[in-house]
Amino acid sequence: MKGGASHGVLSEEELGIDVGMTLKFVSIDLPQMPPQQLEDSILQTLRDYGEPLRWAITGVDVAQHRVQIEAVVIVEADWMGRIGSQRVRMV
Amino acid sequence: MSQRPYTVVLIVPTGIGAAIGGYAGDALPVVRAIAQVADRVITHPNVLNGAQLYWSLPNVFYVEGYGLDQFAAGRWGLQSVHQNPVGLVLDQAIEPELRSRHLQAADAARATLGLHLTDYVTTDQPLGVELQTAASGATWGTIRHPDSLLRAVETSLTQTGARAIAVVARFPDDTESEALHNYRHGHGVDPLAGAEAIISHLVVRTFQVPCAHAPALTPLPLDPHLSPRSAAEELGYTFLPCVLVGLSRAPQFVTTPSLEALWATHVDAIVVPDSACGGSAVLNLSQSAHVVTVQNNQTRMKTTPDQLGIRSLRVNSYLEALGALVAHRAGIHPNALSPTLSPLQPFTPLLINPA
Repeated sequence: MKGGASHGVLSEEELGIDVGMTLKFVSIDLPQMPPQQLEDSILQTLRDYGEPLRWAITGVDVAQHRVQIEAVVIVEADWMGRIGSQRVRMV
Repeated sequence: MSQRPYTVVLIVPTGIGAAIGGYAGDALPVVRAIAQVADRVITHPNVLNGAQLYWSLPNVFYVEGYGLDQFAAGRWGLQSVHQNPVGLVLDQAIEPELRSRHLQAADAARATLGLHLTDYVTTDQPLGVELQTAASGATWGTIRHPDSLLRAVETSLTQTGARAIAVVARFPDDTESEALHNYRHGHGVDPLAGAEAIISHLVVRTFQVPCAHAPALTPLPLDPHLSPRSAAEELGYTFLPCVLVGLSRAPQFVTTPSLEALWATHVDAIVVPDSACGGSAVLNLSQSAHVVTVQNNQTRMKTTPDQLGIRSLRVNSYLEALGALVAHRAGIHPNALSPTLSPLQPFTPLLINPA
């Protein structure tokens, strides 16, 4: 699979030919919601791109009612076919 | 009459530049104080690890961050132990002399402290630690060969009998960097901390055993102006002793209910920096526990409890937080300790769909 990391697609080099697991940084934002619903929403969104390993809400845009989240996800080889949303920035 | 043990969770997230706890185990005085007013304190390696320095407390649970999040979510419980055999996993990238220093630190912990360590395991590839800083200012990082780390941990657990894992990974020496200069002078964000958390999170997530990490680094040249908050990491050749001490009595994780284990429902209060309420453990525990947020422990995060809809008692300092915990434990409302107390008002129900 080819593609620039900024578009949320991992190259073979990034994945590693001999490695079935890669750790990737993900930055997303989501609508503000009550705290008891936030975690489920965050995990559900992050799982589109890998298994969430470490994450935190790092900022709140009160005017826009949105929260910013930074995370590191585990990308297993079999996640490759499921990655590709433009909502996620991977660096 | 038996009383419910008063249980406090203390969190100072790692790698976010916390003014207290963002350096070399410099939140340890906070947990020592809280341990005097609580029956049980649950906290994490970033709070307790001071490189060569540590303070073992019988009522403090040393719980790695991934495990703490699982505990807070009610998915894992904490089972106390008398001791854990600790397995040491060394990054293949560590140079021979530095490796010997770490092995000598481990042997010293066996001989001088009486800890039980199993034979060490070396990864089959260099782990390839890479450090990064996110837009928020938090540090993070990756390892290029996570599979190699997990293979070594599996060997330690299944073939040496270890029940907790201390990982030593070779971290990049970046002695000229501004981030390191600031860190040594008690400013900025620990450039290593985020990557350290990723390593231990990965192990705990995969094997559900206690784990903590110590970076292997070339000793730094003397800096006569070193901050006291960072000084604990410049006392010797390794950061390993605190990790081994913490892991030696860290609770095991359990996933099935048992009377002996500690669960999230047992937590009475959580203490966290006011600007760093955006973690999983805080979101979950805020549903059931009393939240105390400390405003003068500033961080790079911008997630205050009011912004996230979390009800909290906001205090200025950890000294005030200690008072808040004592009052909460005694069943005293904080307002009763202030000079003014408004009279009760008639209850006014909220109108829903008034049209």
